[in-house]
Amino acid sequence: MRRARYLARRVAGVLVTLWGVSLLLFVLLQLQPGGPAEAMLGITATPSQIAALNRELGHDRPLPARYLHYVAGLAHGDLGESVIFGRPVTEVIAAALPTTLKLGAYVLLLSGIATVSLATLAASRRGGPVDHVIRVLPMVGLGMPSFWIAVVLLFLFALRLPVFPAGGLQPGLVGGLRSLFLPAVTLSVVVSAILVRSLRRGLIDTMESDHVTAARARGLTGARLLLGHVLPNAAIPTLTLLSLVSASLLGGAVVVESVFALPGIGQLLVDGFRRHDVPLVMGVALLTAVLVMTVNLLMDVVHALLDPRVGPR
Amino acid sequence: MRRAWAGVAILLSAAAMVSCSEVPDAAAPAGLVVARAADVTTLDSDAISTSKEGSETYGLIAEPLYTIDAKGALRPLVAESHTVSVDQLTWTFVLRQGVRFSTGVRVTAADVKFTVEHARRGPLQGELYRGITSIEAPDDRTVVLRTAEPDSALLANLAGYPAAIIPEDFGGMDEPAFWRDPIGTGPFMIDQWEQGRQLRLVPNPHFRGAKPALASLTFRPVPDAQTRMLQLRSGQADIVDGVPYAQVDAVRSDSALRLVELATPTAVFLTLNTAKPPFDDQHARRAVSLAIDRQQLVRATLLGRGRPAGSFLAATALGGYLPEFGVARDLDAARDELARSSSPGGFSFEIMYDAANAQFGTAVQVIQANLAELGITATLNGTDRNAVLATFATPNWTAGVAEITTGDVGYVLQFYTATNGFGSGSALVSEVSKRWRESKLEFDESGRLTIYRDLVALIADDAPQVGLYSPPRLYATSARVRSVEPVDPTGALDFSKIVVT
Repeated sequence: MRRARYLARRVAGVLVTLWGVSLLLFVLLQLQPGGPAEAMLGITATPSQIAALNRELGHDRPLPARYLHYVAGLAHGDLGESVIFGRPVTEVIAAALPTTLKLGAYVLLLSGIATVSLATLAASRRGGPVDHVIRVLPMVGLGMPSFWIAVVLLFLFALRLPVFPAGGLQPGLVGGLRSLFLPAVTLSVVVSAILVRSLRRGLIDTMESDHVTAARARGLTGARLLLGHVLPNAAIPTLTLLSLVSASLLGGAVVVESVFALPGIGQLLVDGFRRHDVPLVMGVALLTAVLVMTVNLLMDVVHALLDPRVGPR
Repeated sequence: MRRAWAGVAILLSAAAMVSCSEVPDAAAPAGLVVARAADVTTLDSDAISTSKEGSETYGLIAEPLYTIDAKGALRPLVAESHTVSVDQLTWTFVLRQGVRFSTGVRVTAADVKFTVEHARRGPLQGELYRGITSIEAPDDRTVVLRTAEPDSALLANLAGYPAAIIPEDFGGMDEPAFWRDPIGTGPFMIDQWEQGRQLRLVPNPHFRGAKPALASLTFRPVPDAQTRMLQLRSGQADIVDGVPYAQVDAVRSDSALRLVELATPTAVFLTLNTAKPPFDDQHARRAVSLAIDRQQLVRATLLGRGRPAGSFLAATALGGYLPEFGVARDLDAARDELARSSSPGGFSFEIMYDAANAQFGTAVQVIQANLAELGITATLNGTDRNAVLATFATPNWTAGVAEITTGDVGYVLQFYTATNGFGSGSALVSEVSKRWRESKLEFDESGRLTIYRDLVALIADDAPQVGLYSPPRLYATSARVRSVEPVDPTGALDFSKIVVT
């Protein structure tokens, strides 16, 4: 019951935050100079053309009326019509979202494998050369811009050793996995770089704790000790960090989707901004906010499950 | 612990094996794959004017009555011929026989009537067709258009994409559904369109002319220029649009690739606000124009490709014409003009430009250095493209960099007049308007060209807009792609003629 109340409170918090985000975004986007009419028509736009197009797009109405209209549509799941696509924003986003979600899942898988492997290796060889190398690696990962990693990977594995496609999204499960591998590796380099140090520290602290010493005394070793007693406790601060990293992951997707020509929501955001497509930008930004808050919420729930001291009080 | 490592190793190997397995791509194109910088977001005939990729794709699907060929000449397409009445107010078009839509349905005059009426209602391009007062279809092959006043530009306007013939009442479809899969008479039709991924065309089986030699034509959006080039080199794409200038030599030296360089009617220019100091003074404007080294601009921004521009109208759009004044740098003449201006010791002003455009960024730095030699200080204000466009519509700017691609000179002049000289407040606007109206009455093409050239000379002389450079259109193709030729003056390719060996 207490857990249900805790969750309800968190969900209500998310909804209030989303409303705030929608209001802030709407006002900020309206403050941008120019409008979709100027963006579409360019320097040859006549005042009458601009007025006619603004009328058609509903941009001739006062700002509060436009916002209320937008919120009313939002309540019915209507995000408006994209100016550049001439189709409902929900439809445009629905076509692009799966690519970004698949990419995100791939990144989490790869960076999860890399983080656990490297952090465990470093923690188990604490103070040794392997540990030192693994502690330096994140610095290198964080020091390299995503677009540079992307270009290098493309050059090496799409041109010199052509095992992956040079961008684009191929159809089918295997095609999708092949197409998304290099983009996922690009983002995983940065994500793992952030997480490895945190998990290594957590593992070392947990391995020195009394309950792990007691477990060892009971004869537990290897994977059973690691997975059953060390990792669940050591992972708590890393999971918190992961929820923060998820937001930057979506930011990284904008760059990576562009370099790898992936039709995801990062690309939509870039196109929307470039061509002043306010409904599209609003839709993508709101979706991003929902995703980030959902991930945060999930992480809180997992955190509460792993650590009984955290959560409902 | 060892088992845990074994598990990790198995997971990694599985991921690598799945990722590396060379399974044949089910959607591997049998025809030609073209990597372009942007996606086709819409094929709505009115809205596509805002997107090069959209309009060029639509041009492969639907055809207008007349078209403008690569040399800029008008030639009949869906129409067989036309006549103009003595009072030049009535245009009668006879449709070509045997023209069919990709559905197999024959094109009739009713389809043309519907198309033009639809084009007139377009919020973006409708203005081009509003001079048409009535459209009649007395029989299946005859269309009669009437205009309120003589308009020699009508044929060029009818060659525009909004007037490409579509079936009456959208062939029974609702309008949004029609624009997702438009039906036309062109050499290709849509086979598959996946937003952001690819748009695949296949030959139209009912096309009246020679069928394209391609099994399919696939356009893929690849925003990053380096990735586009990698796709070409790895064989994933056959043609790449928008080759980076820095890679031109590398493409030329690669025997597996070919470079296709086409002149375009695009001009990049500096527009000056003549309603406020310092550019309310003609001598100040002329000093700026004379001080700019356009050859250096071409070298710095286009790495030597392209050519100088004499105004906002590219030389390509004027049969290669460049005005005498301003194209060549003349520092002595610039100093004389500055000495005769109200600021003989020099002045300062701000140049606004789209910061996302790397070429513009380089160009303004060259201009800044050129003008500094004259004692004129230019400060640079790189900002968002939309902010630049919106500011042009206000009085709050002094100078800005802009770009125009000219499909039809009369069309651009019409908008120059309607936008008060792109917001520059140029005293020449009324003169341009007068001459443009004269050009509408001039039905002889060479006579019209003379009017346009005189106007360009006039504008270059007064310098409210200062031409900078005209970039070329650069394609790279794999060596197996043959017969790569432009279909129109903008450098769009004629994919119906391309052969893959």
